[in-house]
Amino acid sequence: MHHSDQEHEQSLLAAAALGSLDPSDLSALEQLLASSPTARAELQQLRETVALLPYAAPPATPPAHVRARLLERIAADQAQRAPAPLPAPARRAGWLAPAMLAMLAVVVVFFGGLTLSLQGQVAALSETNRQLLAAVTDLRQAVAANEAQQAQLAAQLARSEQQIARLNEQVAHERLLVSFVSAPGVATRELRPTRADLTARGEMYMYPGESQAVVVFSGLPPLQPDRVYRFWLSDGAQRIAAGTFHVDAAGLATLVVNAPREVNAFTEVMVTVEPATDAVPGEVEVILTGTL
Amino acid sequence: MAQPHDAARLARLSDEALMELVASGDSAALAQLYDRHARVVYGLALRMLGAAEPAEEVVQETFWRIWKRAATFQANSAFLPWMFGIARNLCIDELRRRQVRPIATGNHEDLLAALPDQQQNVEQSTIEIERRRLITNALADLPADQREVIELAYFSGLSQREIADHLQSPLGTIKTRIRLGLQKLKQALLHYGIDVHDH
Repeated sequence: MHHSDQEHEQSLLAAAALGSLDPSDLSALEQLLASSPTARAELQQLRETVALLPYAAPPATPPAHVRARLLERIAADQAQRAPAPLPAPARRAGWLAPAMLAMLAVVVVFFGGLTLSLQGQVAALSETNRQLLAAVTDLRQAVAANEAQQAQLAAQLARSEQQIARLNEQVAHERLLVSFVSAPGVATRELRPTRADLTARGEMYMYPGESQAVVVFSGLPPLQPDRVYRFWLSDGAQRIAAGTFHVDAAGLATLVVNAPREVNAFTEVMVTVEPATDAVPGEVEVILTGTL
Repeated sequence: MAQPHDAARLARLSDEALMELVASGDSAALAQLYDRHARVVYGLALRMLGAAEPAEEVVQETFWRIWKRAATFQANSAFLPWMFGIARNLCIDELRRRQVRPIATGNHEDLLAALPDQQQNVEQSTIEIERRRLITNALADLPADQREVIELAYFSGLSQREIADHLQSPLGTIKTRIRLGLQKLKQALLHYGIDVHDH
């Protein structure tokens, strides 16, 4: 071997031992090691030399927790890979070849370890699954509770909106009444009971030439649900129904009358008690009358 | 399952004999190896990484891998090159992760100076002290340019080409320095009569 070849080989081995071999020299090193036992021995010696280099760095004691954590990690590893108990020796094991026994032991340990590992994984997955199912159940309950609450709030909102609408209607009605009865030039007509035992009466507020009028009733007895009070206008030739109404617990009611023409074109008004619908039979009784 | 060993018995065993026990699952044998070598591994990691926290990680991971890979350790080979190979590779991985390599500036006092080992256990550290004395002497005997390339190769994890780039020297020159330096180191250590099988 040429001297330069020897130096080249020594350089390869030195770089390999130091871990500083360039990738481009790797195949040359592999060929050298494959073909030369001397080179392999030399590399071994150089590696052992290099293995003393760390002693040149100032040694230092690692913190105690490094050792503690390492040993904890190892203990956990030991616990995890604890071998499965070996099966009791079979009666016929005596005539089995030792090699077969060894193979059997390896297989048993392998499958025992595999089974333990799989059992552990299955248990872990089962636990995870259980936790996920519980979480899903909780979420479903929460969603159902939210939906119920939402429905409750929606119903409450609808009721509130209806109440507000009623109140608005009532306010508008009250405003109309107030403006009607307090306006200058309003004419009033009185409605009287047709029977002496009734204390009821009505006060009709109207403008000459206007088709709208307001009638305020008092002393009228509350009716059964299937009956209503009906207001009538009459001009002598025909009688026109101009609205129905109920009274409150105090016997009071207000009716806004929208006549088909000016109210003063009519000569007479009256209030009857009638069935609430045509389907309900019953008598028609005149309760109040008045002249315009 | 390994049988428990008393510390005194384990302390008398060679690294390679301890590795046989470790391979059989004896954690006390691994603890013995840790107590024997963790200081040097930590010193190496500190030298290569320059920071305590990653160096601690390297120490723990080195011995963890020794534990996990004990079965792959060849009984007729030396333990120290194998162990330091693991530690150094972990350091180089960390350096690559950081994408920086703390390169020696030419001041080798930290490498060559023998620092007092105040925390050492005297019984455990006799060989360590002796090895440190011999390697520092052997390195000190090298020409500065050969010592420099060996340090760059080993402690900074640089390839020969990277060293050539770093020193702005021809690649052939670097290869020659490494070859000569390492040969001299080997001869010096043989002359001093130490090898990695000592315990």
